[in-house]
Amino acid sequence: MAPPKERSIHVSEKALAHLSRGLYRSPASALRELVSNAWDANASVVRITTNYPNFYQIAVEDNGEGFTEEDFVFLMESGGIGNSRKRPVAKSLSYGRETIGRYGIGMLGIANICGSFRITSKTKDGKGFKATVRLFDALKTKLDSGEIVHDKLIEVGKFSLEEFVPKKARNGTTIITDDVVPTFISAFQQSLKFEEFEEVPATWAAAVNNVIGRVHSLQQLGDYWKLLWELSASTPIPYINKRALPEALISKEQAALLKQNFKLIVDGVELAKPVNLSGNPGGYTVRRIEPLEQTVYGKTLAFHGYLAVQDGKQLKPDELRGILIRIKGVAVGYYDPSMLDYRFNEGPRNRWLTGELFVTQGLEDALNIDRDSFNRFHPEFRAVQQYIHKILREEIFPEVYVQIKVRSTAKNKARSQTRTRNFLEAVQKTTGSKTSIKKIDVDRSDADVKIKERVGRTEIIVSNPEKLPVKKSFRDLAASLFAAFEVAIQEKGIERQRQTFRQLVSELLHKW
Amino acid sequence: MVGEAEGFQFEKCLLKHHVRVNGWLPRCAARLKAVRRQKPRRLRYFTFCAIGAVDVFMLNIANIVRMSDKRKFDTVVFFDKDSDAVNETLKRIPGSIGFNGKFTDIVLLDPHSPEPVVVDNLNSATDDEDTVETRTIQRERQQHSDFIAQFPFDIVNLDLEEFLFKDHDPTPGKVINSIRRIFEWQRRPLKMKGHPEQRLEAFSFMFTTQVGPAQLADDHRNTLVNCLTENLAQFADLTQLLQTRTGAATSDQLIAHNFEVFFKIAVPKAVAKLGLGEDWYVDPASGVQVFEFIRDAANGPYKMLHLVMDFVKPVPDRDHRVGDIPVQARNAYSEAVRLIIVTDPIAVTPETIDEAKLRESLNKIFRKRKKSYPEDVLVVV
Repeated sequence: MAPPKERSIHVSEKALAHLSRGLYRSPASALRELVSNAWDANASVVRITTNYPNFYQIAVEDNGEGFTEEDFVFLMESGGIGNSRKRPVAKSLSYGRETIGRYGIGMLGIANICGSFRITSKTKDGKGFKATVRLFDALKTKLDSGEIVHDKLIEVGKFSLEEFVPKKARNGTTIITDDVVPTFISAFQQSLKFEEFEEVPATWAAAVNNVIGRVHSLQQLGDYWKLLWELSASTPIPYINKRALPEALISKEQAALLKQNFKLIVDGVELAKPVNLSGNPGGYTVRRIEPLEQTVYGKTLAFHGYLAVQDGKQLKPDELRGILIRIKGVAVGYYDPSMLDYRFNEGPRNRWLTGELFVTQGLEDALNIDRDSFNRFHPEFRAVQQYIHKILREEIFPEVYVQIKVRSTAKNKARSQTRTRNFLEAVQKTTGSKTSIKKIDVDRSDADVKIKERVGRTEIIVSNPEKLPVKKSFRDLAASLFAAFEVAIQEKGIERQRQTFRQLVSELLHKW
Repeated sequence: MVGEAEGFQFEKCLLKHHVRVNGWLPRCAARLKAVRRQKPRRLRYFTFCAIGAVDVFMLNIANIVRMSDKRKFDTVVFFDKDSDAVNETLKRIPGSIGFNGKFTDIVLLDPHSPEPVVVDNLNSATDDEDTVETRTIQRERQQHSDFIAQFPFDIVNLDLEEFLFKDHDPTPGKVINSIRRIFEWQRRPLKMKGHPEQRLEAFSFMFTTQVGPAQLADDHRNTLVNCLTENLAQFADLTQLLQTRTGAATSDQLIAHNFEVFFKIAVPKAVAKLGLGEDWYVDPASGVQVFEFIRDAANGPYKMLHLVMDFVKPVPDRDHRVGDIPVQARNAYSEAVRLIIVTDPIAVTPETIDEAKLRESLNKIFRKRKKSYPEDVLVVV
């Protein structure tokens, strides 16, 4: 039987940028494109298998509507990939979804991690196709030489249609490659040998709480974990639960995402957004950003979201720090630790903040060609930036500092109480006498410590402790030392006094 | 797709399932018991399970092959012919370790190297251009290394749904050579997380092949004949035993008279010999089970042969002795050969199986599989 005929794949010049290996900053970015395609195809489940721990093949499979041979050939031959003017007519999606709309580009985005792949797709009415797609090696060299440039279209590889047996195919689209680039395989295999690598738990919630949430950076866990995290952060999937963020910040988002009925399963683990903030002793400073609209050069910009600060404690991992912008549920890049180029230095407080902005209208024109970052000087981006920076400067961080003071005061008070209690226990132990301590403000210019014998107990009175002639941080210590002296001199005989004083000071400093 | 695609072709076959339930399952249960006597750990299982992974689920239901505490089948390693098949299997037994490609090609990639050479096969610091050919060679080499690194296994299940010998396959044949290498790699130390390094004392081996081809090429024919003849010459009583069972006193007579019977004796014998060559002897205590059944096909019925046996390491083993295999091991091997010659295969037919019980077993397996992979179509037998 003659081999299937090979035909050319053409892309527009603009789309070519996506195909040059390395423009996608990570394998997750490339796979995310396929996940977006599945969303647009009304899939409810996308399964990715990476052939862990070998990584010789990668498959992305969805149960969506698939597409026909005609659509596929159009994409491949006519420069349809990445060319919005040649996009088929937009359709309405199920489950209340909005089209992500990167129609076609995802398919060749996988070129970042492989040289060829097979695609099978079947629609609900049983039509479909099977094809092998092979991208040229040394694409850049060929481009520079001009041999693949044909009248504003670039030939980037070949595809061949194969026998398609509808009975043997399932509805939806499957893309599978076993021509995975060796550097990908090597990097991923090696990452499993990292000291801090851990097997992925059975549930993603356990992964987030017990593994990801305990490392400083995903780099410690390696490339496989990074892939899972990046996919979970960037795709339109639900959160772990509606309490994943404090004060029900994402409960409405969660309800909407669950309604949109979209699951992403990687190597048997169903992913969810990788954030679960709860139980911080210092609490959280949060700011909900209610839906708002702005007009920027006549265009509507609409977004909502939240900012959350984990008071007193650095967020883990580092990759969760900063602000993530989503357009139609899909992340643009990852969490931005610069907080959209916030110019003020809030010190370690920068590392406590995470947030998401859900853009429902606008900002698409501000996307760079990789669709993974923004043109920072685009007016729409600047509008979002200014809004957020105002909140950060005038609301969030001032409140954070207030909470720092509250916590600090509470902490100091608790410490002072503990020290006082310890000192009293020491006095009681040394003298055998029940003792209490009283701090009073009196009308005199200096501080003083006196002992008063009451019925059944000894009372230490510290007058004007704030006027002790020592640094503020030493006041408690000074008052305790003076009190120890006063207690000691109540004893009879110089030796006894000396002994008592030494004992009290030792106990005091031991527990200080 | 389920039930229609190639990979699912035989999973509903009750005759095959009889072999699984009555041959494989008890042998694997005994293997688990033996391992637990030493130091409890999870069994390591290698299989050509095919997309449906029926054997894996059967063993999992019986608690012989257990998932990790993270619900992964990470002690199951399998091979399948292409990445589509591997992908389908991975979805059903998540966490298992899959290799795609022609099994014999990957195993025999570097026939002269006794151990995998520890180089970075995937290194880009090479003078070769970044082409599909270069990348393929790199991946194949790494697959070869990675596969070896998976050894040893407590249970090896080579379920080849095809002929052992093929035309134009130089003697002794790729499958035979692959089995030899597998036996060699079974001597590698077992390294499992949470357990000290150890070497296997024994393992269970299941092998399936199609009887034939009737017109076996001369060199393959001679290989089998010579292998059997050697044993007959070594042990005087074997000739008598052979004659009693088959009516033929020599291998040549037997293959001329009755190829099928010859095949059913010669193949298990050859496998036993391969093991001995790599310092494993067939354990006569657990015996050699041979099952056979006829399968219908478009171009005529054919017979499948299933061997089930245990291999044991002699004491002292090759690394700890100077001379030949110890007498005790050699005697045990002879006893096993005797058993192979005298024992008729177990004929599995629709009349001899308990259909209802097998259906129940299969349906339980399919339900378990559906739980593991909910998008799958539930097969009901």
